[in-house]
Amino acid sequence: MLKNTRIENKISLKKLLKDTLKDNNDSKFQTLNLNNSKVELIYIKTLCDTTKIQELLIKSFFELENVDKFEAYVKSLEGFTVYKNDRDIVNKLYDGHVVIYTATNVLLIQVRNYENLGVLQATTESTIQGPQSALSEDLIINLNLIRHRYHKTSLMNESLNPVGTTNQIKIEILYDQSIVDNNLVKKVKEKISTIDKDVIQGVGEVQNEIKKGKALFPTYMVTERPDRIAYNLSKGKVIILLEGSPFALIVPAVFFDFMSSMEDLYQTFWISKFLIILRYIGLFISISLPALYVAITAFNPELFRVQLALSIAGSRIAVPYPAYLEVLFMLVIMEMLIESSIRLPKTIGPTATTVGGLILGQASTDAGLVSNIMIIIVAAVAISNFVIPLNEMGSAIRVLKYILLLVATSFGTIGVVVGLLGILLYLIHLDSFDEPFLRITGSEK
Amino acid sequence: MKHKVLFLFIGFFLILTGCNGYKDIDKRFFVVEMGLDHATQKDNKYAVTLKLAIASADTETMGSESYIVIKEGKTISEAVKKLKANVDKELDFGHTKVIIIGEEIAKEGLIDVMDWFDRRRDIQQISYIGIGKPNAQKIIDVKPKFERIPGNFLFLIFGNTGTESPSITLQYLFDLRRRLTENGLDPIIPVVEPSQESFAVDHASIFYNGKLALELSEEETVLYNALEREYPKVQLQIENEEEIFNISSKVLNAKYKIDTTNGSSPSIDFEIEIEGSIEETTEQIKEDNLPKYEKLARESVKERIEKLLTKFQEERVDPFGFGLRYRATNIGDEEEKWQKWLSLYPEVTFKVNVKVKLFGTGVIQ
Repeated sequence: MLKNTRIENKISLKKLLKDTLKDNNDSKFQTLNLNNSKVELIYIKTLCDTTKIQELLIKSFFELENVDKFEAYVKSLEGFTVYKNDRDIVNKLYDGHVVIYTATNVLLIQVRNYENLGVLQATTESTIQGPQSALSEDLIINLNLIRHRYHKTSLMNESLNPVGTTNQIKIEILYDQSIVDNNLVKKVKEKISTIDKDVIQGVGEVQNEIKKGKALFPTYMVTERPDRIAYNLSKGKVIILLEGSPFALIVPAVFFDFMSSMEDLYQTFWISKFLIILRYIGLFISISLPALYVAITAFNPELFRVQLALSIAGSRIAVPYPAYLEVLFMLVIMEMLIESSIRLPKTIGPTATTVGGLILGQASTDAGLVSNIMIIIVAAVAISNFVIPLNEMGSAIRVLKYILLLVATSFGTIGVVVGLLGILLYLIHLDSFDEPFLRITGSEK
Repeated sequence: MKHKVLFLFIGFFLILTGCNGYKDIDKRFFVVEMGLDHATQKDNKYAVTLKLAIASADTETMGSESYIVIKEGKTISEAVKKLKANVDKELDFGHTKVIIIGEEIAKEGLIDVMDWFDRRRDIQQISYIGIGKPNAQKIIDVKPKFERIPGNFLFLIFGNTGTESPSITLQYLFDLRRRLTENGLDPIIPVVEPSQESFAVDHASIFYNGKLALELSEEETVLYNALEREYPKVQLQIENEEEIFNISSKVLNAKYKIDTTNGSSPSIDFEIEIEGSIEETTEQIKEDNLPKYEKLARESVKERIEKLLTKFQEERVDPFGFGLRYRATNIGDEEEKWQKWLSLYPEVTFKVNVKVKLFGTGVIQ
């Protein structure tokens, strides 16, 4: 009786699979016949490694000449999973599994072939002396990379329910069980389970979905560096990895994490201190220089030395617009340059930025649209913005300077001071998984 | 609702920019020097001379040109108000670093005059004050050929960033007010004179009760600066019958103590230490003879200082602030102490003790 229903089940399942797959050009139904034994294989060609199927399954079937032996053999293979239910089978099929029908049984085995396996070069967070490789776009390889940097038995890897109601992307979390706060892990899992979005492609989206609401500052860190991940694991943080994304999410993260580069750990003490100071100066310049320019030239020119005041006044003589429009004009052009250099093909990127930067800068001062000093300020802002090691934070700062420019234009130097204070208060109010965002000392854990 | 707030904000933003002090830097005229004289017309009191820096877009000639405007009025404010109608840009006193007061006005008294400067928010209290001789306008009119930025000559002279001369006295606006109002500390203001298309700032004048009382010679000014500011780089020329030699000092310390324990004959004890080397001589000086020259220098310096202090005492001026020191180190009613000091000061004897140490005769033997 039991056997009967099972066979019926099997037949209905086969029908289901045939129905779902029949329109798919890359689905493959393969029947192997030898003597009286018959085995059927169903898989999706483009997701599976066909040479492996040939080696592991087809070849051994003809060598073993017996279905029972073959079943036992398959069950012993790496990647074998047990049949759970129909829905599971369809999902597994799309995850690179081969469904094997014998006369009595349904077997599942993963023979995944994933193109794009290469470990990438670290590009967004490159260092000079540190490890040069970044994460890959494959979960297994990423885990491999991380485990090779963190040899500890307490490193736990949990697979959560796939995110994205439509595209079903695998998501995993990593943490060091011996130091992590269990409440944090629980909270992360809870938050991930609430994600309700059709398509999820990158960790940035995961971040936005967890946070809910509009944020300017990143409160979770997106990184591509396995060494940063290993370092953060040792500090009791939770890492979220997403299938197909060469970036990982680190939670919780505080402001000062975003200002640190992995390079700081690899340099000698004073060099790294120097670099950190440099970075904070860069941060201050890129936030406040345009605002200070407007506030000081238009409200309090007595703050300059008289020589500088006169040279700024001189360079502005030909400019018909007030200082804040001049600043805004030049900043927008600069943002265009930065954005376009991301989109431009690598081969003409440098040329375009040179042409844009040099010629536009020179020509616009000659044409009397902006002053010479303005060009220096915009260049300083653009350069110092890239001193911030993490791209997300750099982008947030890029936006922030406009807010400060606005208050500087309306209220002068006092406006800049109050604006900076406002930014500080806003940062204080933020938190990342209950960790105060502007916390200076590390957590006690 | 959100849009309403946004519109409101943009509205505020547009309105506020018009009247909240927003004035582009190229729409301002920077006043770099300001001069004050007596009016020539009968019913006016002051003549205000302003030197305005003209900004230029050309980096070669940038800022070397200036424009001078003069107006008269019953008060300084009135004259400045009239001046505003004569120029196309807003007058900005934020960079008025040099204020020249005509000698005539200085003789009449500074207390009323300085009121305007002290009250104005935009005039920096670190402005330098000078006495213009023969009048302020003549000083403002001088335009040294090599001046890169209008007023830079005087900025550098007073700012001590360029030349370092012991004969230049410094008087800041904030300090002038203090000296004018404080009992027992008198103002000393450098005198600026035109000389060969530029200036000479080689001596200073001392004020008593807000009025110009005593004009020092160059030598006296140097001595005063050495004692008061402990200005170390002083050249001392020592002469006797046979020879003249110069001492260039490296270290100069000056301290004084007011001794009033001996009721009827109070004294002020000066301790001066000078270290330096011989710079120029008319006779050959040997290293072995240094003690002899130290002695010569000691006697000469002592005599000069005593002469200067006695001169101050005779004119009843007190630029060192002996009176203030007395008031600060004694207890009692302020007015009483002050009256007591006024009676004590003419009686004071100066005891000057000079130590001179010579290190060598320069780099040649």
